[in-house]
Amino acid sequence: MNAFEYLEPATVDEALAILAEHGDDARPIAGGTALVNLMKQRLVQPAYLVGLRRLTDLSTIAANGELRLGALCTHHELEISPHIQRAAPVLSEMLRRVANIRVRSMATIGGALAHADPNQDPPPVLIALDARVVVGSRGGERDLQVEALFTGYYETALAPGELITRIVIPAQPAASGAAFTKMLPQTQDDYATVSAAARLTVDGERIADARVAAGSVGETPLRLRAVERALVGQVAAPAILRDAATLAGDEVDPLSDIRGSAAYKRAVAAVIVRRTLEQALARARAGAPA
Amino acid sequence: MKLLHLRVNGAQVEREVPDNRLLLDFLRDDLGLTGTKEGCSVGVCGACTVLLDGRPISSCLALAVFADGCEVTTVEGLERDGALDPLQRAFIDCGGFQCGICTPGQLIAARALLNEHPQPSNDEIRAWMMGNLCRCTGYYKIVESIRAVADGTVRA
Amino acid sequence: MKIEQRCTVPVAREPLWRFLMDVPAMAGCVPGVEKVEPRGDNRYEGRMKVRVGPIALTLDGAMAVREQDDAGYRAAVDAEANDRRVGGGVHVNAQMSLRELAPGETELVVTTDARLLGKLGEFGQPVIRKKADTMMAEFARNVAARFRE
Repeated sequence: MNAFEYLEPATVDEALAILAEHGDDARPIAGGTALVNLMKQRLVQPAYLVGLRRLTDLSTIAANGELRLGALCTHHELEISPHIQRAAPVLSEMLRRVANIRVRSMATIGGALAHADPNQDPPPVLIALDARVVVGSRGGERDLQVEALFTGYYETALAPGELITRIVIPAQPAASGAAFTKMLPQTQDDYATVSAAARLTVDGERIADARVAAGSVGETPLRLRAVERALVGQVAAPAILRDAATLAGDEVDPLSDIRGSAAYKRAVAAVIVRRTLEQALARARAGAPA
Repeated sequence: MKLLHLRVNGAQVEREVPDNRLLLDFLRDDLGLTGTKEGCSVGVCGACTVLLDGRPISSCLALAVFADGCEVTTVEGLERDGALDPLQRAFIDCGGFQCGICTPGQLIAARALLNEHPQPSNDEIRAWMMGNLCRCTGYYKIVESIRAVADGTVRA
Repeated sequence: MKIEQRCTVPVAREPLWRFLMDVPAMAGCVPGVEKVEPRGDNRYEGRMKVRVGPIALTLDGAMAVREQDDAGYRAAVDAEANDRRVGGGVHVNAQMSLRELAPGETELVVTTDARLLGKLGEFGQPVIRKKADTMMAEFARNVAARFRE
């Protein structure tokens, strides 16, 4: 790793001031599981590393109708949180399959989102749950829907000097159910070959609302709006779900890599989306929360 | 350079380190605690697992400065007053290791598991321990060893 | 790896060709180029910065216009550059040609054979392709803007 100066601010304001002062020369570091690897490969060589671990304000979990998760909560802290298991169990299910226990014990949810690896699991689930992030800077705070956070391959809409401070998950609609499917043909601690998350809200026989997102299917996590449009207002029948899922094949734009060719991932995406829709629908009908 | 103040295996440690020192290298090279191993150096194999404030982490991906003010436990710190941790006893009795290179990491990860879940099911053991790779044992004896401790059947 | 790219520029073929063959002027439209210095004999040295997410590359290198066919609106360019800090490099042989689509509209076709060395070789091809496409689109926009001035 290059020689850098490690700074450890005691407050969020101090952290934002340091980031504003040093601009591109400084990088924030939370758990470090992604960034230290990049630095060991010399791909990222910051002059200043701004450690966030003392910002304990940003590692709280509050449940009050909506879920407000501090950006510095680790995956494991969230995974075992009874608030999340109650209000959004699909989030707990997804989190406990991320990587391994060591990564989950250090990697933070805010750090993961800021890193913006398109193969990560949290983004499609957060998109399906209609989550947003709160972004702080010296100039104040702004809200950003999670699906608007990702702008490119490892790129986000965060401006220099901005930090994700919170992830907010709104109260989930009654009569909704959510599911997440991670296709892992190799090892269990791997990134998904393709993943999908969906939240369906039912109204009698019909699908009143649908939020569908996929991971590892392009340069960013993708909200599958064509799939959603084919579901909303329709009778919640297997053929409807299957036909809607087929549209995923055209909506995604996967990259070929060691986990599969683009063509393979495109074909598999439709299957994974269909299974996810079926599970989400079953949960919506069972009256189980998202 | 940063002056670190931390506890390692229960003992107070004060040491100056370069900002970019990895926790793994600090433990092995600066403190001489060579029980923790470097396997893959990318955080996948688990041979470098240590406890940081009780949390199992990859020390090859942690900066030493992350441990300032914290409590670090390595395999050398598992024994208490000269007595082996029940996990160490179990690994010996059940054959939970062969070449031993992954064993420190396995023990630390297992200690973290039992600290958080004293009565894990076998599925929970496997799910938690999944990230600690072993090339020798095929994992069965590792799970058995942990099972024995959870069941209280390890000889004292 | 081979990359073929096309873009349409709202400029007539002749003035576009003269612009493209004026390397320092043309280079000013390539995203990330920081400097281009002529070294004589159709050779140029320069520096280009490219970002892929958190990875910032500073590519220092040289290019040469190996062939130039003004009548046929074709040229061949060789370039090599590396980033010493990251420890990677790229060798490129590119063919470019202009095709007239309409009196004020020209298609630029660039066929590149790129060899990625060292760390750069570890980036997946699709990532490089997407990056190249993004840069080409931005180049075309910059050229069009230059001609509007």
